[in-house]
Amino acid sequence: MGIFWIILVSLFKPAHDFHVSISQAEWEDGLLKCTIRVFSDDLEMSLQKDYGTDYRLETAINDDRLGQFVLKCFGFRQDDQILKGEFVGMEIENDLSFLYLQFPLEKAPASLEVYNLLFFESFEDQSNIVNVKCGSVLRSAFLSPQKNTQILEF
Amino acid sequence: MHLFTNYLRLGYEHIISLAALDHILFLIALMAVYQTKNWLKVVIAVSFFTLGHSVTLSLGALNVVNIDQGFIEFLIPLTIVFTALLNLTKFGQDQKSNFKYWIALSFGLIHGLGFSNYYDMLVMGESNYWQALLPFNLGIELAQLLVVFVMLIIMGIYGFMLNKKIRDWNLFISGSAFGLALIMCIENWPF
Repeated sequence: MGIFWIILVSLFKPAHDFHVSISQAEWEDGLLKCTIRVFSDDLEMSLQKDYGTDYRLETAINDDRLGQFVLKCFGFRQDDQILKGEFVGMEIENDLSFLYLQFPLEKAPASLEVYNLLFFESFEDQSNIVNVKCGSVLRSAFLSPQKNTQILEF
Repeated sequence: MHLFTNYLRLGYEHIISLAALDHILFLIALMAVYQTKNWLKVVIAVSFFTLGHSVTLSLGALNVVNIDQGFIEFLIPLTIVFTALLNLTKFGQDQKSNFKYWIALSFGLIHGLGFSNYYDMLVMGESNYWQALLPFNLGIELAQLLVVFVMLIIMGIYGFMLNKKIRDWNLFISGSAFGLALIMCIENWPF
């Protein structure tokens, strides 16, 4: 009976863990520019899993491995080809980190497959929303560990 | 429309997941005194709760809410303790009184403080207030109404089929909620 109460109490947490990332991408002049918003503690924890517990987000900005990590998780496919992306940089603002990427894409896409696997290994309830704007058309993908890729039609 | 439904889903799944059990515990305690026939009063009370935490979440834009997170983690279970205790008083058991609406609204404001860092995550660029925050809040409301619906069915079965009194149900629910929330208060004691 005691264990039952301990389990029950441990399930109740006043501050909810909110496992979400939201990304914004816009195609303009042959370039798909993306901003990924993540909670800084989630990002640091995931980087520490790959690169050791000493890894700190504050110093990650000067580390090539940060870009490699992000590009491994986030990107686009067109006609089954992965778009080659470039990591532009990162900004940290309070609890949030903003990751900037860009993908050269000559013509405005009629359809794009988007994937974002960030933190799926760490959190079963992680949700990643990716909003993509092309001209005046805005499309949105809802990605989860169960469905980590989505095709967007413009 | 994609954008709207995605944020709606985000809010809905946030409440339905195990992460938001304190939210659900508050709702169950809030509605413990009502008979199933007074379902409309329950729906109104829950909507007042949603309104409360939507207001606090929106205040994130103005950066006026800056309270220590540890203190908020103490305040949230305290609202459940208070609600459970109120359920044991004659005043709190009055199903016709509108006082519960104001309790739901004020405690909603406190529960919303637990979402303090959500605003900056949800609102940016194209995903503005109407496209992101409004559907997120509506998703939370939908999930809460689902919880209410399920609880009303359970309470209906308890009342009609088992021929039990709402008073016994209230004592059981309020007692359990009080115990769980009190432990949470002690665990998050900020002083």
